Amino acid sequence: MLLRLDNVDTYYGQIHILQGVSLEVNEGELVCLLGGNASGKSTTLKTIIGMVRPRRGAVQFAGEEVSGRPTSYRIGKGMAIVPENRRLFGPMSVKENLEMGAYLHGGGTKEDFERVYSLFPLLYERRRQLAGTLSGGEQQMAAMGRALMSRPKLLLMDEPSMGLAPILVERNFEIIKEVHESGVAILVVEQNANVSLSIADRGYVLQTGRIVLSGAASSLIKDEDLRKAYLGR
Amino acid sequence: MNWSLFFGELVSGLTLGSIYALIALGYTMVYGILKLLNFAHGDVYMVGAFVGFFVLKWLGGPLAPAVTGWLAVAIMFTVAMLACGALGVGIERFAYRPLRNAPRIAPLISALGVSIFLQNSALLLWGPQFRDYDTFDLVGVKSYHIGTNFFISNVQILTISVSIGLTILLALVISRTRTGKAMRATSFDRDAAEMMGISIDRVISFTFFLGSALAAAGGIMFGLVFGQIFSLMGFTAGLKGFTAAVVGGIGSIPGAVLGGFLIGLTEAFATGYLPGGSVYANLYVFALLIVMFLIRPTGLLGSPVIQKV
Amino acid sequence: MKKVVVAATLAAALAVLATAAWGSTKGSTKVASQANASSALVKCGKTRSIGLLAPITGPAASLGQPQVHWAKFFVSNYNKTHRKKFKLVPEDTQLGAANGTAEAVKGAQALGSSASVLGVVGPAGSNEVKATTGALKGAGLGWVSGSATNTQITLDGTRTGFFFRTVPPDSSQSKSVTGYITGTLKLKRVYIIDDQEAYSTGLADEVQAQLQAKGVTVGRDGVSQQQSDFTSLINKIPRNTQLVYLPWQLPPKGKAFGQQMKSQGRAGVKLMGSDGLFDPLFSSLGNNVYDSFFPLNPADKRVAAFKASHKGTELFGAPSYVAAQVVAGAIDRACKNGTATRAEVRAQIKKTSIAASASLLGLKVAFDKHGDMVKKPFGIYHSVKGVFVRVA
Repeated sequence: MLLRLDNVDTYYGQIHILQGVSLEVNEGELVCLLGGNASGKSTTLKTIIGMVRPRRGAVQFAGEEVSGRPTSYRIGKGMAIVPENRRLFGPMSVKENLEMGAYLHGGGTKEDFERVYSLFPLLYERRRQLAGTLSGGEQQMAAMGRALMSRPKLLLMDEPSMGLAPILVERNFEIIKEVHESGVAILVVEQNANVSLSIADRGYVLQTGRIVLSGAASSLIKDEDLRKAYLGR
Repeated sequence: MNWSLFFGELVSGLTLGSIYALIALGYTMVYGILKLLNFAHGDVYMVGAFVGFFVLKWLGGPLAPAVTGWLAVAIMFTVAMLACGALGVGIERFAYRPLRNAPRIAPLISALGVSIFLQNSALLLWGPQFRDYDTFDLVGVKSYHIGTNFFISNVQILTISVSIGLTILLALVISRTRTGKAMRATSFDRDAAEMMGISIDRVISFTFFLGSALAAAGGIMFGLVFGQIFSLMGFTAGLKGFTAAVVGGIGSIPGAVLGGFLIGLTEAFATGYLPGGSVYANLYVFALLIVMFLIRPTGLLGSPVIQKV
Repeated sequence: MKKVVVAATLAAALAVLATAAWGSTKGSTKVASQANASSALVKCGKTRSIGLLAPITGPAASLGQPQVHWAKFFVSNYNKTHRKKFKLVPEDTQLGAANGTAEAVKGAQALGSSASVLGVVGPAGSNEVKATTGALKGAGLGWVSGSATNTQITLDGTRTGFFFRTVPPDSSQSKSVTGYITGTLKLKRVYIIDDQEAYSTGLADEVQAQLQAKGVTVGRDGVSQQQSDFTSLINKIPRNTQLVYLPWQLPPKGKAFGQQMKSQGRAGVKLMGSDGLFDPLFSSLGNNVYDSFFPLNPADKRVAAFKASHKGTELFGAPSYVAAQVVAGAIDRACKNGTATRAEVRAQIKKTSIAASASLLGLKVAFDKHGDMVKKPFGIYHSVKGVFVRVA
């Protein structure tokens, strides 16, 4: 078991955002965390990565209790994140953004760059371009490439389909599947249940801070309540 | 056309501008990363000048230094830059870091408090009298000339070249080193930078270290060129350095340098050519700030506020 | 419209009240009580009291402290060698403070109403002399200043017979300076830089006018007292200028100016300062430096003795020594029969005659009918090997 959230309660001031959230991601698994707006999806990721501390509960990663550890420590241990809205460093070049992805690994070895460029040849073409001038789809690729530079054990993705045209969303998820097949564990947080469940191993459904459903992706797809809530779209 | 006056003011302006540029760089870097105007920065410049003075005294004083003049100057620079770098890191740690998530006015007020604290500590420790750098006895000030109209002294050459050198060094650190890029990334998007595993605390400390070291260098240059330092010198210089940073575009490093030289040249040429010049030179400098705010609030090289999509 | 009327009425009422209040402080003691205080018999006793008005604290403390030290120096020297003693009653005028001369007036009133004070040394500033005239004159006191140099305060007749000074007036300083520049140095092109303060601009104006009347080309500029950077200003000084006149009050600034001149290749230009720059910091610049100062002999034994017990010579305060000497001498003579009145002390001050050999000033101390010294030259000094030596 690579990542484990154990009964996590997270607050923003007085607001109880996450209530008793427990989930797991195993080595090499692709897990999706589904939920609508204000369900607490982003907070869950922030808790995992350490930008937010839970008031109760524990976060375990790679066999270690990391609840008290800062983000830099967890990144160093093998986490990487593709943030919501990509959040590339606009005034820096694509190459420099990739470097930042491998910050804790000396800025990336030649092999790291080759690996990412072969996965995303477009990034090689645009490597000197300022990241802020890329299109939406290109930015998503760049953000993923940046996250992959550090050879993470666990890749966290925050709403990768947000703001993208459907054709790009499909392309994107194909790439996510490819990355998954190379052995990286991935936790995708999404509103788009259809696409996520089609490539995931397992899934969780988060509603107003609570896990309300969980199970194998294949069974979740068939679930009645789920269909009504999400797949009706 | 009075060429002698023109070249004279040009050299004065570049010399002054070099000092203001160094102060402006510190302001702009801290603003870029923290969106904080570090009003205590001018006083770090003052502390740098005094540290240099006391190092010189410790070396035996300008009349009988233990090492040759220029080596003494090099030692003064080194010690002051390191000491003030540490001072800057300390100030950030105790006066700004605890307020990092507070509303923006809180660290601003804290900065004013630090400024007052530094000024008065200096007054208390070192007294209100002027301290002499005695550059003449220390390194021997020589005036060089090209033709009959262009004069420049060795300390002026030193000031301008050291300033340019330090600026280039800073630019290299920021664009080529990993930490430098981390500084830039943090200034663009602090959270995303944190998500790359960058330690924001360390990056901010490093920024303060660099900015404060540069200010210290500026303080020593002032002492060498103008011969005198005093506890309240940080006030006006800090104000002008801040003006330079804003005029050049706050947050922009080339802007800070451009702004610094612009302010220095304005001061010199205003003194030389405008009525009431040397008494009202500061008036003209700050009038420039006001004009800049009216026609181009983001400064000459400042980036217009980007809306993130 | 109604609001305007109300406001105007209030303003007028306030103005009337203010005038009444101001008027009441001016001539607070009527003529009758002046006569009383003047002629009140004071028992001299073993220790006689001399009032001292000086800026002990405040922005001009650097001027006041030397005056206090030198006055005390006189008193301690006197007390060592006489059976009957003197003591100083100091009042702080805080010259330059925000409330103007109010403290000086308060101090003067305190001295005036004291039963034992027979004469006063000070105050330091010409504006203070004017402000305290009412209180001191009303109390019948004579007062002798060691530094108030404004030319008019002895000539306008308001305090004749009461106010005296042991320094030459500004009209002398400018004359001495001009005379030396045109007569001895025989220069034709001078640049004057004032520091924007009243003392400085006054002197600068006088010297400029006098030099121009003698056909000298004069350039004029100003700096603020807060400035340290003169390089931009120095560029403006025409290359053929022979002398720069600096009637400033802060010696460190004078030194900085001189050094910056040198570093910009202007080492050959002569520099002349006024009494505010009479300091080793200025003379250390080199042998192209001149200064005008009260005709003091820096080699006088008393100066050396003063320096030995204090950290420096603080020559700015030396005329206050002479002022104390004058007042003490007058009190001594008035007290011959054991009692004295303030009027008698004043009369004795008028008759002061200290021989040149006994005077710190190197010349005889005696007063003319206005209260100025009979001989009132300013000395011109030249820096030789870093020390000022009198040359005129």
